[in-house]
Formats: sequence, structure tokens, C-alpha cells
Amino acid sequence: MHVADGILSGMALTCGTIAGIAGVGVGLRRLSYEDVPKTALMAAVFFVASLIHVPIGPAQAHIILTGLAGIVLGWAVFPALLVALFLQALLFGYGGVSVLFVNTALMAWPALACHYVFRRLLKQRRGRKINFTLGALAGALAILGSSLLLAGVLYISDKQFWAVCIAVLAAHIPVMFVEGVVTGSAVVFLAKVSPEIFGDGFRR
Amino acid sequence: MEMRGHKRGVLFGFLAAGMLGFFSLSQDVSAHRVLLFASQAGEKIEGYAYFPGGKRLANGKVTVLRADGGHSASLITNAMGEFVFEPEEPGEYSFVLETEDGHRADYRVISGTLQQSVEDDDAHLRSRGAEDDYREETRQSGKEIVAAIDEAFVRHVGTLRQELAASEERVRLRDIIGGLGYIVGLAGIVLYVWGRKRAPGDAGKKMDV
Repeated sequence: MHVADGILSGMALTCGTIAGIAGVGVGLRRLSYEDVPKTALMAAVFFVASLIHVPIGPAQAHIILTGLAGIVLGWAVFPALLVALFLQALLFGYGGVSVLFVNTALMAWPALACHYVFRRLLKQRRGRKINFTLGALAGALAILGSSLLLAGVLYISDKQFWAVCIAVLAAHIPVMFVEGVVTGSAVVFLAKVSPEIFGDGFRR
Repeated sequence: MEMRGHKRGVLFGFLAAGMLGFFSLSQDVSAHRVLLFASQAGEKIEGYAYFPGGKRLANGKVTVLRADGGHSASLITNAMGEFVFEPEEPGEYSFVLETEDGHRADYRVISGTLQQSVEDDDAHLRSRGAEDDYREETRQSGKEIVAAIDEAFVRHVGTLRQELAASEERVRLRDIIGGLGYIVGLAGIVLYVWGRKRAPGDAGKKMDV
């Protein structure tokens, strides 16, 4: 999912960087004092979750938990992912520094979409199974959205769109499955031990 | 009560993140980065594409560039992620791998062997008119010895270079802890600076950016 330096064309780099900076700007603007600890928490979770892989047959799935981060943080997912991606680029060489905002945009915009779609649907009274399903859908759709955006920026960089799209989506199908299971489990667990992390609307 | 529960949740989350980090050390890591390794093997340059952790990349497209940036060859890695390149002339070659999902890796090899050095010396000797039958026989056996040394050298040093490259690419515990520390530290700085500016009635106020 991380785009490396030197891959994207100038147009793709410019568009992605603008999208990333815009999201980070709004995210910082909307960040409240009380949200800083959980923003740092989700940044830390994303930072280490990307290091874990789950073998599925010949493929490997790597969780990134952007769906969960989006549900919990909303717009604050932008600065959270920016910090985590910067540290990953610096310490592990994942992705490039010049495409930092592009990578942030690729992962954060779908996460934000999951926030607006699924956050209001998650209710404590719905029960574990429904909340697990909603969380799983959020996790899977966040990966799907990021894959499609990745195919889009590679297309803008003069790559053949359909071939890239198919390659990227095929590579991320196992990821979507594992991400869905992990996100759904995480949502159910957090709903039990720390429901306030989903905001006041969760208990109504 | 809610704030205590929230703090407990955040603390548990950081502990979980730390445990995930420890767990991740035992895992192969791929899909975030792709790497290349290549080394001289006799007259050829052999290499392979792999992910951190060792898993090989099959059907990867490797472009070979000369020192002047000119295109020299296009290669495809086999099922074991390996490729072989036969340079037309000694010199510096760059191997560039780009995948369809946006990953890129490159590796530089300077081709040229002890054999080449011996041949260069031969050419120098001939230019000085020093060739005779005895020297030619000595030179041929010398070439065979040098070829054997070269092959053994590449075999052993090549293995060391592979292990060194793999070691350098491995995710280390100190990097994970360092990254978590940076995140906690940054959050602490933000909370400290912001907290000093806050008045008692500023609960829920957004950041003034």
C-alpha cells in the first residue's frame, strides 16, 4: 500500500500531495485537546500493525487498521496517519518521504469515509454480532478504497489503469478479509472495555 | 468515571500496540517494501528480488541501466525471484525494480573481476613486447588459478553480503520502540503546549491552527 519515491509522475504527486495536505489541515483544525491521546493511540496502532502479516495460502495479508482509525478519529485520522507514515518511512523505509502526503491521502480519505458511514451505525444496543459486522465492513471497505485510490494515482502516472487496478485489487483481497476480521474484533472489544472511544452517540 | 475509563482504554491501547510490535518482530514483513540484491558471479551478475524477511518476488520486472543512465537490458525474475545479467563490458550497472503497486528498489553493482584485472595486465605486458611461450603458459595457469580464487571469493563474500543486506533491512525492536516513543513524545508535547494555553472553560475547544 505504501508508494515509494520515484514512482509517481509530477501530476500524480501534486494531486496526491494537495489531497493529503488538505486533509491534514482540516484534521488539525478539528482536533480537540481531549482527542489528542486517542489520536496518538491510533497512530501507534497503525505504526505497529503494518508490521504484522498473516499468511493466507500463497499470499500474505498485512493489517493497517485504517478503517478502525477512521471510525474512532474522524478527521484526526489525517494527522495520525501522517505521523505514523513519516516514522515508518524514516525507520523502516516503508514508502517515501517525498510521497508522504500522497500515502497519507491514500489511506486517510477512505478511513474518513468509513467514519461518516459506520460511526453513526455503531450502537452498543445493536449487539456484538451487528457491531462486528459493521466493523468488518469498515475495515474491508477502507482497504478497498485505498486500493482504488492507489490504482488511480498509478494511472495518472501513465501506468495502464485496468492492469494496475486488477493487480492492486487482487493483491489486497486477502488484506480486505483479514482487515475485516481484525477490525470487527477490535470494534467489539473496544465497545466492551472502552465504549467512550466511539463517542457519546454509541451508548444512545 | 468516564475519563478514568477513557484513560484506561488509551493506556491499554498503547500496551497493545507495544505487544503488537514485539509480535511483529517474529513475522516476515512484506507488501510495504521490495528489495534487490545483486553480485558478480564470474562473468555474470546474479541477483534476486525479495521482501524484508526473505520472501522472494517472482515475475518482477528489473531494468538494467548503465553508468550513464542508458538502458542496457530488461529482465524478469523467475519463480525464485532470481535474475541473471551478462554485462557486455565491465563497469557500473544499476538494477531497478518497479512493481505495479508502486514499490521500487534499486541496487548498484560494479562489474569486473580479478580475471579482468589479469587480462588488463596481459594487454599491458604485450604492449611492452614481453610475450613469449613460457610467459604464455604461465599466464594461462595463472588465469585458471585466478578464476578459481575469484569464484571462491564471490561465493563466500557474496553470501556475507546477502546476509548483511538482509540484516540491514530487518525491522528492529529498537526502531519499533523508538517510533512508539516519538508518537508518545509528540502527543505529550502537544498536550503540554496546548494545556498551558487552555483556560478552565476551554473543554472541547478545537486547535487554533
